[in-house]
Amino acid sequence: MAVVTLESLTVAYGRFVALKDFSVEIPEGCVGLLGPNGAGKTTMLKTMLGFIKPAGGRGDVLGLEIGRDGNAIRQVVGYMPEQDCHIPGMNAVQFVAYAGELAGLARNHALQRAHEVLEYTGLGEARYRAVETYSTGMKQRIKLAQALVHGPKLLLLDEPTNGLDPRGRQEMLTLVRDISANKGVNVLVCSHLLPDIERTCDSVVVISQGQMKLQGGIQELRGLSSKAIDVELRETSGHFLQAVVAKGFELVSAKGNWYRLHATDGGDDLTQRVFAAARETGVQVRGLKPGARSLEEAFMEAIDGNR
Amino acid sequence: MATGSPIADLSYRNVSDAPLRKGRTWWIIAKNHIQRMLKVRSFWILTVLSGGYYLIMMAVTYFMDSLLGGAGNEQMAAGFFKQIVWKDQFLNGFQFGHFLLMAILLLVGAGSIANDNSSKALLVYFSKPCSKWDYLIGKFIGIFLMILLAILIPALFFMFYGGMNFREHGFLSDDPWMIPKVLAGFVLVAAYQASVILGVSSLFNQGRLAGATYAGVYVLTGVFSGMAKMVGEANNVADGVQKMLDKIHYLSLYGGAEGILKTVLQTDGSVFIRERGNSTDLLVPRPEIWLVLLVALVPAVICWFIAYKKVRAVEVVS
Repeated sequence: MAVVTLESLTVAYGRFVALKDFSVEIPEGCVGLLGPNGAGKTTMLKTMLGFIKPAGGRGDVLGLEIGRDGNAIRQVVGYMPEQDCHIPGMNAVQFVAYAGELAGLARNHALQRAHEVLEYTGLGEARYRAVETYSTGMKQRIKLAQALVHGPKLLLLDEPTNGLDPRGRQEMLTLVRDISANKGVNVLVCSHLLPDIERTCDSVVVISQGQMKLQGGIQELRGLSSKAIDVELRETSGHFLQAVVAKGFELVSAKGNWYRLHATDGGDDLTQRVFAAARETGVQVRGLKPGARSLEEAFMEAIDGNR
Repeated sequence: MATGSPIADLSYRNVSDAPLRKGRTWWIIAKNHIQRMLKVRSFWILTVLSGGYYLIMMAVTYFMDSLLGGAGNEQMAAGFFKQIVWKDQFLNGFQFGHFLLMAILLLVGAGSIANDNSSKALLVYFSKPCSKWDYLIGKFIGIFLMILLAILIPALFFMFYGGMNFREHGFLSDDPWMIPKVLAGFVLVAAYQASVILGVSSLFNQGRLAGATYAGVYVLTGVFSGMAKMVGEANNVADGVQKMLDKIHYLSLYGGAEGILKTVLQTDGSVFIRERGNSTDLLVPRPEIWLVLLVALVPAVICWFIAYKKVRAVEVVS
């Protein structure tokens, strides 16, 4: 079942069209929203929350219609914005409890939940300190806590590792993974950092220039490409490369004796053509396997429109 | 999970059936604002200081009543109390403390939206089931109740004191509707001032800037309207010109509040140390209804409109 469905959604800021005829179905689980800066990722989240009115199209979140059921959507969705945001003059417990009350929780329950989520996000005793005194990492955690406090069914995380040091980043990613895998919350992670998505998400949606370029499971996208082949030679050989290029390949990458070759034509006799080139140039092939893409390669292909 | 993991409490469970509150969202916002402001010490200090006139009045009336009355000078005391127009004392009390009340207004209102703008708190508010009206009404009620509290606390003390001690001198009988009128007047004044500061606050990203702007407008319009009054007094102008100058007196933020109070109390004001009929040269007659609407209702509505337009979760550049 899709937790978010967008159909032909168009969002414009004046003349600038941020999302153009955008359609997508976000499945359950942890989904990564990938795209370069300015691709329209944050616009999509803000449109889902009702912050921005779409110029056209429709969509629903957890069965609730965007635009019509704004309050009901925000009741069941938690949003962790990219920017630092807090309410001045409060400590973390007060802030998160207040966020819980705003989300509709009874006061006592909001306070109890505030302690629970702050403990869960690892703020510990620091939760009694004024939020203004927090480090970037702590501010990220408190943003996550306020998004979680009311028990959302869908969590929207906008660049959750923004500004974090490597350790803080690892900890945040562990949290995100735990929330989606063990706590029964659907998570939509919006990021331009591929390793973050790769580590936390089950599937990805790639956006570029306001349009969806690619969607699928991580394993599926990283999966075997029918046109790529990895070849290991006994020793490097320029002649071999010239021979394979002549047989309809292009060199994608070279690491030591390993070459990733990509067939530029539609033929399916990749192995035979590689061995033929090896025979012609007298090189010894030590290894041969179908080429598996990294997520980065899949992403770049999607962005460049080569797929 | 590895030791040192940020997930300190693995027993944490997401909830889906949490008990919901009964109050409306705007009241949650207002209540939070009030709770935080009540803890600010300077609010209480300024509130006490703004009630200085009532303290002086209580001291003077106590002296006249207990010392003169008790020393066989009952007639002298009665003559003194006869000069006092009791409902005007609430107007005088407001006029005496208006600068301090402005400071209280800045304290409770200038940063209400501006500080949320600077800390991007609107993203938190509007990502929850909280509409723009919930937010604005919540902020307004928070400011309104605080400023009303600051005006009312000293006035209520005086009201209680007067009601207990000076009923025989007409405290309640001179104008039986005095207490409802005073309460209604203060409510309207607080609503007017809260509306204006709400609009000003929404224009800025820093509470200090919003406060400085409000204070600047308050003082400058006050000086402008005050000068009109001085010109009239100094030049002994014709009646028509004097009436126009009297109207100009109300064209200020303070004038709006004074106009509301005079209109609701149905008084031109009085100075209690003078004979009732001889004090009019110091006073500006109460404004007509249309003038009150112009100087109070119109700015309040404009400020609400500004706040509504300026408050949004994200800055959208068209």
